[in-house]
Amino acid sequence: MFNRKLQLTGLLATGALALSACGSASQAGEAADGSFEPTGDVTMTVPFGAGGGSDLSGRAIASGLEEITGVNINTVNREGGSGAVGYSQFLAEQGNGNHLLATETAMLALPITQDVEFTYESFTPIMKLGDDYTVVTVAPDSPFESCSDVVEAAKDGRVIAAVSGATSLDEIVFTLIEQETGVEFDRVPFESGSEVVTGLLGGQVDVISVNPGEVLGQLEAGSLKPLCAVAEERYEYEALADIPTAAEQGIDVAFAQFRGLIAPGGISEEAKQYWIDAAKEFEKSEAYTTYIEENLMQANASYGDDFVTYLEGNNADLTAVLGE
Amino acid sequence: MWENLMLGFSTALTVENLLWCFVGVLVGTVIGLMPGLGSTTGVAILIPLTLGMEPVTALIMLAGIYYGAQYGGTITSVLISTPGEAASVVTTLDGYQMARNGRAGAALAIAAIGSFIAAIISLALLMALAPPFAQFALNFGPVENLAIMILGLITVVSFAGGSMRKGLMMAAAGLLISTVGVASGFSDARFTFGNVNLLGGIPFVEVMIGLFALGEVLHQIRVGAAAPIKARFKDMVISRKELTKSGPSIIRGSFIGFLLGCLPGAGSTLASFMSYGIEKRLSKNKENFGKGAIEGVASPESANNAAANANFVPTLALGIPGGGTTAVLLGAFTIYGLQPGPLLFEQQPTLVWGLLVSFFIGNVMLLVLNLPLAPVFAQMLRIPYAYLYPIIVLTSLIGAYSVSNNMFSVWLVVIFGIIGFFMKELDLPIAPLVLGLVLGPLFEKSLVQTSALGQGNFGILFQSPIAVSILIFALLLAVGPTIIGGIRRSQRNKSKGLTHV
Amino acid sequence: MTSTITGANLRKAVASLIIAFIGVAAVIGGFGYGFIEDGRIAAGFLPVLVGGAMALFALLDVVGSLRNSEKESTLLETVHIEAAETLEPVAEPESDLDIYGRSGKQRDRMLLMVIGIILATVLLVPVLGFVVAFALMLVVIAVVVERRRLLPSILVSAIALAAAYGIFVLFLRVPLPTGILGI
Repeated sequence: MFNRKLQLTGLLATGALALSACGSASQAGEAADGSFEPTGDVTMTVPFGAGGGSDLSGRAIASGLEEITGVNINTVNREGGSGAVGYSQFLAEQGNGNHLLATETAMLALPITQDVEFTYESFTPIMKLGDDYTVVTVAPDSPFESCSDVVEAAKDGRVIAAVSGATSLDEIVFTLIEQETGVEFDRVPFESGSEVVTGLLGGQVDVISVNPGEVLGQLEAGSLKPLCAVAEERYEYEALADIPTAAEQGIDVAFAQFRGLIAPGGISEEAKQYWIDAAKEFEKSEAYTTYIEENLMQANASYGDDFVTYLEGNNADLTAVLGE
Repeated sequence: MWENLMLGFSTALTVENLLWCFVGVLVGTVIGLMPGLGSTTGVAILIPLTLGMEPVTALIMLAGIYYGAQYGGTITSVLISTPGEAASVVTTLDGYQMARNGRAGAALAIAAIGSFIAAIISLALLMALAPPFAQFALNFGPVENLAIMILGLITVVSFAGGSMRKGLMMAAAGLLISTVGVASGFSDARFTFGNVNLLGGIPFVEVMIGLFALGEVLHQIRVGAAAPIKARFKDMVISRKELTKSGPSIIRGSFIGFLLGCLPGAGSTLASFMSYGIEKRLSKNKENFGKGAIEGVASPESANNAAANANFVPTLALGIPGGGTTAVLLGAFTIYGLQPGPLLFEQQPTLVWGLLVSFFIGNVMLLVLNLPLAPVFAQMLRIPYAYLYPIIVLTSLIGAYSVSNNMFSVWLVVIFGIIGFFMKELDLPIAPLVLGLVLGPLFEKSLVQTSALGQGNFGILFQSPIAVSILIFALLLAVGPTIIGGIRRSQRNKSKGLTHV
Repeated sequence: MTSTITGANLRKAVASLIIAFIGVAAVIGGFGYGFIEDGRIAAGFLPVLVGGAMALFALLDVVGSLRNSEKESTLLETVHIEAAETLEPVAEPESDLDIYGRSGKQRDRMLLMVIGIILATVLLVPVLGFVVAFALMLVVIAVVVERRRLLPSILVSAIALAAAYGIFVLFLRVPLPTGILGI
């Protein structure tokens, strides 16, 4: 997840800043061509708790951008309400070019399902890092051998699915499967990916749908059994290449969670360009590749207006799934 | 297994590793002394410092920070009634009273000794039984967790002493405070009054700093400056009698801590509260509890240390973090290029056993460092309060700010400081409120999950043998003493009646 | 014997009454968030449950402390000891002077001043910055509230602040808010 050398350089840079105490204040603001430059430290909000997928992407982006821009970026976790807390507080940063947020699907799902004050149009999209799919997974002693088995079982009886939040990716995936096949799963809400896995291993729930990066260790050890990847194509990663897609098993569903970077709404054009340029540098770095590979994601970077176009399409899809 | 242990010791006992372990323990202690900074924050902040090291050395240092920070929190709990984390709230009850009686040195020493013994016991259990314990812990689903939460809340009864209704009232208040904000699984923002900062709820760290640190400062100003506590150096050293008295409490605390620590979540906090409650029930001189009973320090301190170790059971055996600090350490694993998961024991024996042994080494360091230092720390109480309290206010508020780099946290501390002052004036107990606040989200989560699993029917609570056993135990803890007392009384009356006849 | 209600007990009863009202308010608010929906627990379930419990125990406490006030005053000592949280074994009589010879009234005034100073400090942080505001707080408490001499007060405050700055800002890299002076 983190490139060790990169982190170390970041640390040295920030350590040097800290030692010179007020050095950071005098360095900031002096842009050679008079364009935007962050003043002082930059804050990176992660709207979910430490250790989850959002946290990992936020910290990876922060350390990558730190090395590229030489600015100190503090990552803070603002968890709560399936991300609603972090985004709502970020909304109050209107016009502040010194603040960033590690975004994902919750930015679209929350306004559709909940009474929040923001939509994706309230913010300035900077970079889409890539796509993260999920794998439908069961315990190794489960009678299910494929996703169609799960759907068949749900036709006649009760299948309990764990979801990690009211608008989380696994909730969306299960809803899509329900809409496609006409069955219904019973949901038990949990709070994080690791809790969901615990519930599955403990036999409290029958089936889960997780980002493979979170459970690679368990998959390799055989303590979890993958059934199908809810993706258009099979994974290219060696460890996951044997997992068939849902479509191969007759369930035509694929859905990816995007991960990306946004700035507050109403920031200057220069500030937007500054972060887009920095993010483009980040995509070329080894840190980006390492992050994508270690989290078993698909590298699909896009920037600024292209990212907005993607969001528009994704938002329409999600509204069809979640909107009532 | 012995080979593995030898491997661990040979890894951990190099000069370099011992040195970094020492540094970790020392730095950790300093961090733990700061209000608001517990072991989780301490480890998270200092991970970058370890990046240039060998993974084993780095983990040994981080383990040192972990234990050091916990011990630092114990020091402030005892000396100025300011717990570093929820798990050391209980320590303030008797530890602070011991300090007021001039026995701060003894309280700090027994905490170090208790933690050390707990570390040895839990290390042995961890090495021998981690996989079966992890498997056992997996049986604790939402239903069983709900039973555990009920048991945890019932321990409040044993805290409240004579004013049980006040204890229950405050536990309910803590639970109510925990419902502020958006709970996961629901979309409603509750009791936020339009304040964005309240969406995430009221965090217990700020509440704790306010109620304990600031509340106590205001209370002391109101009560008036007392003479600094002058204790002879001899009184500062723990006596043999105190050691023998604490022995059984330490053993009981260690086992309770280990069992609860295997369960992910609030294991450490629950363990410390529950072991205190059980000690009080078992003790021959119950009335000493809350007035400086050394068992009241020994037992919860052993329990929270054992629970901290037991947190590694699900971490190492299943690859699932058992608590806040272990989650951060799991993150550190990935930085060192290790994939946490069930295969870790096979793939990285040097690292796993080195880490396990480093728990032991870290606690030895703490013991060596703190037995002589405990009386020295206790000398801090000689500082006149007029000098001490502005500094406590300063560190409390900076500590609060640093929790999430937010002025809102500082305001919370000020508000809860004033509330804490009134609670002390009105004899309202604080510990039950903190327990309610910590357990609240977990209680609600297990309620919601149980309701979903049972499709609205809580009857499934009685279909789980584990849950039923826990609930019976809770019932015994709650009404047992009253019933036993009643039986004894009626027997006495009967025999009296007989003699009259 | 006639039962007399002491001032302390009356204060406690009033406080519990206020807590009971908060509990009732939480119950009403909780029902607004939904108690049970589709046969399952909704967002208002826990607030209703614990708000109700809090109100119930608070009312029991009001009744208890008013009814037992006579009994309690004779057993004052045991009651105080039983309340495990009471950190002072037995509250000193109001008029007692402390070691600096300050009366209860003076101490009440000190308390209000300290609370006022803390509030002012936090309000001044956005203007003056964290460090300056808290430096002022330390000096003002020492000089105005505790009536110590200026020079030693400044010295002690400076040392305390430098230590806190070293740990939090230099070592732990906490970005304390800065004010108009840029520090």
